[in-house]
Amino acid sequence: MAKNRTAHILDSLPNIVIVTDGTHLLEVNKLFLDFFDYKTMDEFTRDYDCVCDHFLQERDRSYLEKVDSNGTKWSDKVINHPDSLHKALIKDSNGVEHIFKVTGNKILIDGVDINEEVMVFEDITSFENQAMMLEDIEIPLLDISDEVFMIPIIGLIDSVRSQKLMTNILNHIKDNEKRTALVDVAGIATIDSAVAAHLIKISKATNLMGCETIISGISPEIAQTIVNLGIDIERFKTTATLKDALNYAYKVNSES
Amino acid sequence: MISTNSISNGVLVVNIDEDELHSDENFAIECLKLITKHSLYYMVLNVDKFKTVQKDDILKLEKLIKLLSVNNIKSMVCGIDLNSILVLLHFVENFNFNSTLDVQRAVDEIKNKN
Repeated sequence: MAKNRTAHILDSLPNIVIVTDGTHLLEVNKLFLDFFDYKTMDEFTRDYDCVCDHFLQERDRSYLEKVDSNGTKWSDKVINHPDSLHKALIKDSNGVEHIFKVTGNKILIDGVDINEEVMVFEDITSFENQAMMLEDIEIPLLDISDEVFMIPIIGLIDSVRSQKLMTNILNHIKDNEKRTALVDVAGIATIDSAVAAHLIKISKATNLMGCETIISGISPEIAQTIVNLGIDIERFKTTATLKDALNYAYKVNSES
Repeated sequence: MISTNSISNGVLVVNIDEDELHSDENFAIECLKLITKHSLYYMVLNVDKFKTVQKDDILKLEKLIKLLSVNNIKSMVCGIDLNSILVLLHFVENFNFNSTLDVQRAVDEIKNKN
């Protein structure tokens, strides 16, 4: 049977697109068939009911499951929480793992829910790999002088990374008797309340060891975010540039 | 008083005994009497003999520091170990005192920081 126009449009999309009733596949595009190396959808459905039969799990990462611990179907989870990032880990026909960002919606015909859903799988493997690489990079502690050291924050700060960073910073202060820590946040695109909380914790911890923390590299955008979030930054010194921070650190340490 | 003390560069250094801080209700008054006896105005509270510094210890220290402050005695805590700091950060919102690494630095810095 000749493909209709809609099928051709779906085939020309750069993402995998499927239509499902949440359990069974009803329609797929060409990219889907290429990914799993099947000629037709019927061939695929002879072997599997659902794309979710291919979902994989990995420790410490949250990927979509066929049915989660609350008994929610994967497609319902995606559709009911459109603002969350839903990721699926799937192996292609060559055994290579791909990470997909999954979005979807219910199909309504004249406003009536026909109990079918269209789901889109966008391959974000390279982006995710880059993000993971950044997570793995250990943030260096750079000695500037006998009293001053610098911490250039690169990549994302989550609670695990922050805890490790804090331990490294405190050990460095203890071992090298540092008096000033320059935390440069120029490498962070945005600061949310969680990142700010980590920075505040680092500052409190260094203060307890008699080391002043200066946060440098605060861009106008970050400054605005900090103000909008109502984050209390009175406790630590902040500067717009690393140069200002260094000048301040030298001044403070030459006075003491 | 079980806690030992010494004077360095015009600063009274009290090496606080963990049990005494909690069991002796008059510990703060003893400290105050001690510094008054020596006619000094700066006191370093060294807690490096503590196994771990806990939230209760911080609360006791803050009370002691407040009492000293009322009597115009400037103080600084020192010797909180790294592991305690990492744990304390989860339980204590604010630390209302000056703190530093060790006794030597506390003696050097106490007059500048207050």
